[in-house]
Amino acid sequence: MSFKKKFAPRRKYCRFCENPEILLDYKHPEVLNDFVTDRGKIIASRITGTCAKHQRALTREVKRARQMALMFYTATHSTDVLKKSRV
Amino acid sequence: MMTRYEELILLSPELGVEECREIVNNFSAIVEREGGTVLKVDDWGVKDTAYPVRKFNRGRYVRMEMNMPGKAVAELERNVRITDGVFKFITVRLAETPAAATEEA
Repeated sequence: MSFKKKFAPRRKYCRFCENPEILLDYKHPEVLNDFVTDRGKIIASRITGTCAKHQRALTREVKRARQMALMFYTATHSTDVLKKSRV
Repeated sequence: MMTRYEELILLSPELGVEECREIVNNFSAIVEREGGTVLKVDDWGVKDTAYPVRKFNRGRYVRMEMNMPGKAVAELERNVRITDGVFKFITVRLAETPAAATEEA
């Protein structure tokens, strides 16, 4: 039995450490949306490779954005979903 | 001791531009009364919200940036809460040194 790797997974890195120009800000949900599932859950840093420092900031900003209705808490409450269900 | 704050307010979409301006001017007056200065007022216009807020799917976002003493936050928030037409609000302390912030103002 050989334990040859079938493929080498791409090295994960923290996008915010790599590029300090990306601001983690609740006012920019388009950045935060990349780190959230389709249903609105925050994706673990284990998956995205975000460093602990930036993951903490990310979580805080996502929660602020939800509070201000810039992002939804759950997809079933999202305006887009509600619009479709009404049709 | 002045600190830089930012206030994001979600207003009812039923309010006209004039009414919104009046509300914001009111808040500015409170900030100034408490010994602060308003640096920026940013009207994002009427935007769709991510989920319905008080049965509305849209609302007007207004962002204010100001320097004010920490004690003023409670007074400002109290007034924001009792103002009609304000659906949601958030006050965030901006991570900037107070010295740099006052220089700009």
